[in-house]
Amino acid sequence: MRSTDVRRLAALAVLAVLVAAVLPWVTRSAEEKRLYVFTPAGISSISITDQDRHEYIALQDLLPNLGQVGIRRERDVVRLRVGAVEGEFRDGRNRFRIGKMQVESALKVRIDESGRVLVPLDLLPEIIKQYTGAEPELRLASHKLYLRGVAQYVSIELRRTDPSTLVLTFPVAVSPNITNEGGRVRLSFTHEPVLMSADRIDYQDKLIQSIAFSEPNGASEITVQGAAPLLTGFSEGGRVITLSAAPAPPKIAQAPAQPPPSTSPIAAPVTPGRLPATASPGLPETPLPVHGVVPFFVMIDPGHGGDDSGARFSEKFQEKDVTLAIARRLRAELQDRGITAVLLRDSDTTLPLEQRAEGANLRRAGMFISLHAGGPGVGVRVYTALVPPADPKVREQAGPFIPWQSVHAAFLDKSRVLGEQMVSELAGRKVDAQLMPASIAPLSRVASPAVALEVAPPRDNPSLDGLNAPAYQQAVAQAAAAAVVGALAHMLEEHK
Amino acid sequence: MISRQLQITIALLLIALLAGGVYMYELRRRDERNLLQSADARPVTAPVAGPKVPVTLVVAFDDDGVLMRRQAEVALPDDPSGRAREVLRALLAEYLQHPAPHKVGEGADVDAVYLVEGGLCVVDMNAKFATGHPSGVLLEQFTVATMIETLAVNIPGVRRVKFLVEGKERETLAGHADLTTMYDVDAVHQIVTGLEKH
Ligand SMILES: [Zn+2]
Repeated sequence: MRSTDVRRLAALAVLAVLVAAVLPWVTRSAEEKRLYVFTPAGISSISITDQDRHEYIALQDLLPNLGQVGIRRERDVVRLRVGAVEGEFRDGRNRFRIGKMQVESALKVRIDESGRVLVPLDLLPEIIKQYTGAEPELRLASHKLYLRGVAQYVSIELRRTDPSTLVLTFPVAVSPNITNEGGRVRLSFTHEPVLMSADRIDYQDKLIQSIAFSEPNGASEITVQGAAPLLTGFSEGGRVITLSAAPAPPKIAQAPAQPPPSTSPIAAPVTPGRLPATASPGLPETPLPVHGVVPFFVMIDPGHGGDDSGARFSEKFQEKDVTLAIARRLRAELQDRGITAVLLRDSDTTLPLEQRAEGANLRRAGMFISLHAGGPGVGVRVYTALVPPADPKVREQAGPFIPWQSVHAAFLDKSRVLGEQMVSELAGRKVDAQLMPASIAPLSRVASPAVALEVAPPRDNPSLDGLNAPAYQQAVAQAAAAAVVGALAHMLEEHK
Repeated sequence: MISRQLQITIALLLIALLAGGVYMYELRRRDERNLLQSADARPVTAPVAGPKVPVTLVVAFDDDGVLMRRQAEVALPDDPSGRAREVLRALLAEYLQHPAPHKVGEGADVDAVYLVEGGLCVVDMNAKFATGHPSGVLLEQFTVATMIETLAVNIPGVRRVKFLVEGKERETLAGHADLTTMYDVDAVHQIVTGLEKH
């Protein structure tokens, strides 16, 4: 062994000891909640405090990301200026002013002893919009804030060659950490603001099974699951990542060139673009999809989950399990009809209501279907949001802002069309169905046509067994999927 | 002179009598306590002066999935807020019976009602109203809609209703009905009309 090797080993040992000593402290501080702010200059993170069980941040931490900040404090008023725009905040108020605009808040603004202005996290898009004119993108679930133009949406295309190839196109060059464990490839982006428009896409494909998106600790992670080992290749100067079948080790046979493949029915529109075969063997030269276009997809919200069991039908049988079972059937039924569907939760996890609407709105879902189950009575109740008719007085007070409760108002007519389709498709399958409005969270906050279904047991078996019967759940899922197709056709017809 | 044997017998009898008395007293106290506890489940209505007047309650019937109007006699105070509270308590009393046509949380009660200028009515409920409420879209809608409609029928001028639980905003009643929203009485009336059976 050479002396440099010994020295390296010793250094490694010292490092290991240091890591072991520091790790508990690091993990503890990592538990402190932080908001990751992605700006053109890079990422910063600011600390989140809990006030009355809601998440707040101090504006003094955030505003320096927007420009030159000026602070003035007079008794109970704090004035924060960014460039030429001044905001005025008072402790304990549900409204504040930025520039000439009054902003309303469901939660109170707080000012602590040191004069820091604490605002609820979900108000940040509005605040930043008033200060800068540009609305950022806030992802509450993962505590990430992207100033406008910073988020980079990946565009995904499955090319159904034999075997298939999955092509990921990014707006700019990326350099993720790649872990490849047989069929599973994980792309981890620690400092790049990468986003995917869906949490998960399942493919009915022999090689590529699924692609999923997650956001652990401020990072972004894309996981591709293949049925066989996958090969990762970069091209277009790091803008395109291709996942294809890894050649079997003994034979170094390359996949034969294929004719231009057909893409999935709802893929984004394509523009001519050339893909130089730099790193991925066997990839045919085909047009690249345009990035930034979000294809139509249905967001399915399986009600409850995790700590929230919903209605408890018996010791072991809870609403949250029924909603997830029907949601998975509905996803499959939609996919069979060529429509992409994404579940807000695909496991028994807790998902707060506010994050359900936000999850759908940020990803620009084309439709939203919330699922619930339980009594009284039989059959399926289909609900549209109860959004009061716009009160001219309230309108006036709100100024140019739409109160957040009425985000959905513009989609109410289309929601009714979807609801009517649901009722007629259910009735066609001999399932009792009725349509009515209900003030059910989170429908009124969803920015797309949306309905909620409450599935009660079937008339011919009004029991828990009846509710849990696969044939019944399947009939409900089929009716709902057919209704989506019907409502889409109706909307396209109106659009003409 | 009384024999020693008789003295012992009388002493024993006295002790038995005393013990029996104490036991009876304990039994009665326990009964009273039980009675008080079971009465706890119903709203503890503050003594209201004044004669009983007829009010209309809009009551939900879970088994049939319908709403129906019912007449009741309720003693109402003079102030509008107090009247609103008593009317709601009369509706809750229907839901707290055993068996009840529709259930709310055991021990549910109205803490206070505030009538605010402009037709806003703020209804502050106790914690048991929400924590014990059965979970379900229609079940929760029944509670919210019948309370609002009952208020609107009996208290003129109520345009919008906001629910609080223990003075605080609550996200949902029991996982479904949105309590962060301000309910529009006209919009709720349309739901009620759709569900009503005469
Ligand atoms: Zn539910």
